[in-house]
Amino acid sequence: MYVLGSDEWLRALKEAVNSSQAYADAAKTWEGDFYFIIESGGAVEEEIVMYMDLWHGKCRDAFVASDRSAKDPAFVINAPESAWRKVIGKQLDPIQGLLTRQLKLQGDMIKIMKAVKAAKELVECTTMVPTEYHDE
Amino acid sequence: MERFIVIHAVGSDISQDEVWQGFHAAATRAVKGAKWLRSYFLPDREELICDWEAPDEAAIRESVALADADRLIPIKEIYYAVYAEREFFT
Repeated sequence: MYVLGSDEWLRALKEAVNSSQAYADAAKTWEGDFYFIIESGGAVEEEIVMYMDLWHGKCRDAFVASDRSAKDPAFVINAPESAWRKVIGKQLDPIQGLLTRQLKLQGDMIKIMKAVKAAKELVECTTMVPTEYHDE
Repeated sequence: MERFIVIHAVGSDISQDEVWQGFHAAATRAVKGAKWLRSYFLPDREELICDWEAPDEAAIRESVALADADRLIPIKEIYYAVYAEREFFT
C-alpha cells in the first residue's frame, strides 16, 4: 500500500498510466500538465503537490513537488483528501466534481470537459494503485 | 408549459467559476417562467444541449442572456420539442 500523494504512490500511478492501453487511446490527443494538490487539513499537515506531465496518452514526468513554484502547469486541481478519496473510490465522477467545485480547477475547464474519456481512464489508473489515506 | 432544446456552441478558455456561475444563474435566475432542467455536454461535437421548460423561446433567450451564458457559449439553435421519458412507459 502507498500513501496517497507520496513519491511511491505517484511513481506507481505513472507506471499504471503508461501501462494502460485504455488511457493511451482515450488521451491520445491530450497535451497538458497538471498539479494535483491535496489540500492541508485533517491528517494532511501540509498541502501535497503532485506534478504530472500528461502528453498524447502517456505520462512523461511525475513527481511530488516541494511547493507550487516548481512548475507552471496548464492545470491545477486542488481538493481535500476526502474529495480525492471519493474520486479514486469512484463515488465522485471527476467531471461532476469539477462542475460542482468539489474539485477546484485553475485552467481551461472546457478543455478538461472535452477530455472526459481521458479523465475517466486516468481515474481508472488510480484504482490500480493500492492506496492508503492519511487518516487511516 | 412548452419544452425546448437549446444548442450552444462551446469554445475554450472558460474557467471553472464561469461554468459554475452560468449553470447556477440558469438554475436560480431564469425569468418569465423559463426553467432550466438539465444539460448534456457533447465533447465530440463541442456543444452543450440544454433542456428547458418555458412559455416561449424569448423567455429562454432572456434567461440565457441574464446568465451571461450567451457571451461564453453562444446559442446556435433553439428547437421546440416534444419529450418522452421512462415514467410514461413503466
